[in-house]
Amino acid sequence: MQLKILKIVAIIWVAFLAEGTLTVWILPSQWDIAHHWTYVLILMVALYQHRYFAIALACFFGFLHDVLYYGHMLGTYTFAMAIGTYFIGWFANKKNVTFYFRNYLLMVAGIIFITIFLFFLYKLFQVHHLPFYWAVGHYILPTVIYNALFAAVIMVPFRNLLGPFQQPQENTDK
Amino acid sequence: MFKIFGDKRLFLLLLCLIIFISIMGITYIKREEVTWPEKISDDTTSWFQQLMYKPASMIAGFFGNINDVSTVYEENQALKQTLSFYALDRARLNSLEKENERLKEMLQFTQLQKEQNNYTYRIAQVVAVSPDLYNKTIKINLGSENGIKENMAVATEDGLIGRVNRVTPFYAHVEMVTNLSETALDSILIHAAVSSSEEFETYGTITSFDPIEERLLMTKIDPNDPIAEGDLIVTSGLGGVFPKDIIIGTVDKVEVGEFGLTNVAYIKASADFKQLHEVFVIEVPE
Repeated sequence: MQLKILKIVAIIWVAFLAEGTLTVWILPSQWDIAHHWTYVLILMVALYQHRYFAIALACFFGFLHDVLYYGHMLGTYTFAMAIGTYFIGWFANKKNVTFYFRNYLLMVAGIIFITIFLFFLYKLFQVHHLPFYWAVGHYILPTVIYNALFAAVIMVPFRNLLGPFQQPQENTDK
Repeated sequence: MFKIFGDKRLFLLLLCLIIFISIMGITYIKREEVTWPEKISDDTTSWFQQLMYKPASMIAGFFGNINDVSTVYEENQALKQTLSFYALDRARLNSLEKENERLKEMLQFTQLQKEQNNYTYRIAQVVAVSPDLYNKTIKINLGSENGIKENMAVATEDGLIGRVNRVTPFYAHVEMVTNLSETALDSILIHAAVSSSEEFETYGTITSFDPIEERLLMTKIDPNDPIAEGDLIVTSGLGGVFPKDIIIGTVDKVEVGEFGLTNVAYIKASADFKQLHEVFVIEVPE
C-alpha cells in the first residue's frame, strides 16, 4: 500500500514537471491552452482511490504550482484544485455505481469546473478584463477539449495502476 | 434530498474560503521578501524542471532545424545584405562613439555617468514556462547567487519580454509583459518612447496587454506628439525600473484615448513570448 502511494505521488510529480516544460515543446506555440495534467491525475485518484487523499494531493501540488509560477498571487491553484477535487469526489461518492464512462464524464466536469473557476477567480481580482464569451471560445473550450483528450488517454493505464475500486468503504456523507 | 454539506463540513468549507481569499489578497500586493520554504521548494523543483526543459527544447529544436533547411538559401541572401548595411553602420558608429567619448571627457562626466548606458547582458536558460493562461511567467536559471535582483529587465535578442519579479538563490521568476494589466495591483508600468523621432520625443506608458488583439497598449501619448504606424518603440528609461533603449515593438495603430485628451497606440511586440530557449537579463551598472 505504501509503495502504491509512493508510485502515485511519483507519477503526479512527473506530470507536474512536464506541465511547464515538455508541453511547451510538443504543442504548437500558437495554441492558448492551459495544461491541467496534475489536476486530471488527482481527479482520477479521487475517483478510483480515496477522495481525502486526493484533496491532500490537490492542496500540495496546487500550492507547489502557485509558488513555482508566482506571478500575481499565491493560492489560486490550491483553491481551485482542492475545491474541484472535493466536489467531484463528493459526487462520485454519492452513487456507488462505477463504470468507465460515468467516471470519464465526471472528470470532464471537473476540468470544465476548474477552467471556469480560474477565469472568474482572476476576473474577481481584476487580473484580466476578458469578456466571458470570448474566453469560452479562445481559452476555455480548447483547454477543456485538450485536457479531456489527455484524460481519455491516461485513464486506462492510470486506473490499472491505482488498482481495484475502494471508495464505497467509507460513506460518511449520510 | 441531497445534503451537500454536513454542519461541520459547511463550516470547514467556509473557513477554507475565507482563508484562501485572504491569502490571495495578501500575496497580491507587492511582497517584500521570499520566505525560506518558498526558496527551498522552488529551487529543488526548478532543478528537476531544468532536467526536462532542456532535452525537450533540444529535440524540438532538432526538428525545427530540419524544417529550416529548405529556407536556408534565401535566408543566407538576406543576411548577407543586412551584413553589408551593418558594416557601414558600424564604421559610422565607431566614429560617433569616439566623438561622444571625447565630448564626455571634455564635459567632465563622472565615471558613473559615463557607464550609465553600458549594460551587461547576462544570458540565462529558460527552465520552465507557466502553463496558466492568465498568469504568464517563466523561470530562468540565474538567481540571487549570480547577482540577479528584482525588477531587472529581461529581453530576448528581439526585444523586451518582462522583468524579474522574484528571486530565489539559484533561479529567478520573470513576469512577462503580456501579464501587464491596468487594474492588476502588481503591475509595474513601462515608460516608453518613440525611438526614431528626430527633434520631438514622443513619450507614453505601456499599461496593459490586450490578449484579444495581441497588442500592448501604450497610453498617455500627447496628441501633438508625432507617432505613426511602424514607429519603433523603446523603453525611455524614465520610469526608474527599466533601463533605456530596449526595443519593445512597433506601432500598429494609433487611436484617440478614452477621454479624448491623449492618444493610445497599439504596439506589436517584437519579441516572441512563446517557446523561449534563452533570454538576457539586463544589468545596469551601479
